[in-house]
Amino acid sequence: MRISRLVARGSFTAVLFSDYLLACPLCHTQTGRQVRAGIFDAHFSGNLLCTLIPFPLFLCIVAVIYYRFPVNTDKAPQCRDKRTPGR
Amino acid sequence: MPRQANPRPLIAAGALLGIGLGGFVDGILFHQILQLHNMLSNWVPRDTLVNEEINMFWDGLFHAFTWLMTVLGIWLLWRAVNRPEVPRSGSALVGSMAFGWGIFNLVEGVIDHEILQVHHVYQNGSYVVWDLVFLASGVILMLTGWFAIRSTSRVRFDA
Repeated sequence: MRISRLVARGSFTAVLFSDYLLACPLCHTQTGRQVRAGIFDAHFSGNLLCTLIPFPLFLCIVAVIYYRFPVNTDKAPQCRDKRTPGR
Repeated sequence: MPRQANPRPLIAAGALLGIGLGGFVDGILFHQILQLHNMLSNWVPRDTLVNEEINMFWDGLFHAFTWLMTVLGIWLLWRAVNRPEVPRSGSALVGSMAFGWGIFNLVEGVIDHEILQVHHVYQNGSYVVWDLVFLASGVILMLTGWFAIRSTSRVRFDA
């Protein structure tokens, strides 16, 4: 039962995405080949690093907010009981 | 026994959502509608179709991670609202989202525009002014968010 569900889902996903893969203009055209060459060139690692470098920083900032944001819990009002609906 | 309020999880979730949604504003408004501010446009000028598509690829990667930030933000929000000690304050959430959007503009502006110079907000002409406006928008959003969080009746912060 589980396997047949898995096969059904797999087939559905394959059908869903096959159009995109077959239509992939990056894969079949001359321009696509040039674009691929331009993306996966000697600068690829550097470009990847530059593109993604803000994200670890965002997560670090959010971690600082989560653990160290200047909240005065003494002044903060006591909180709702779990059963009490919030505002 | 009543618990001590802890708004930090809510603020962190809102900030991460603001970072993600701010990234989508950047991607949708700047990259797609106005067609500027593309990821590597200072290194790979958008003067040919091939270079345009190369920029599009790196924009897409950036947006994929922006999407990831949004999903993480939703997850954090879900966890926060299920914790009884976290106050459910709408203004704190909206304020922290504005705060997060400001963080996005400030961090992205400093790293990508000023330090790495992979792109500028507006590539033609004097880009400095536009870059500064972008940074200023980050500061203004952060301040707006900060004051919105502080002004909530249920949550108070140290000055």
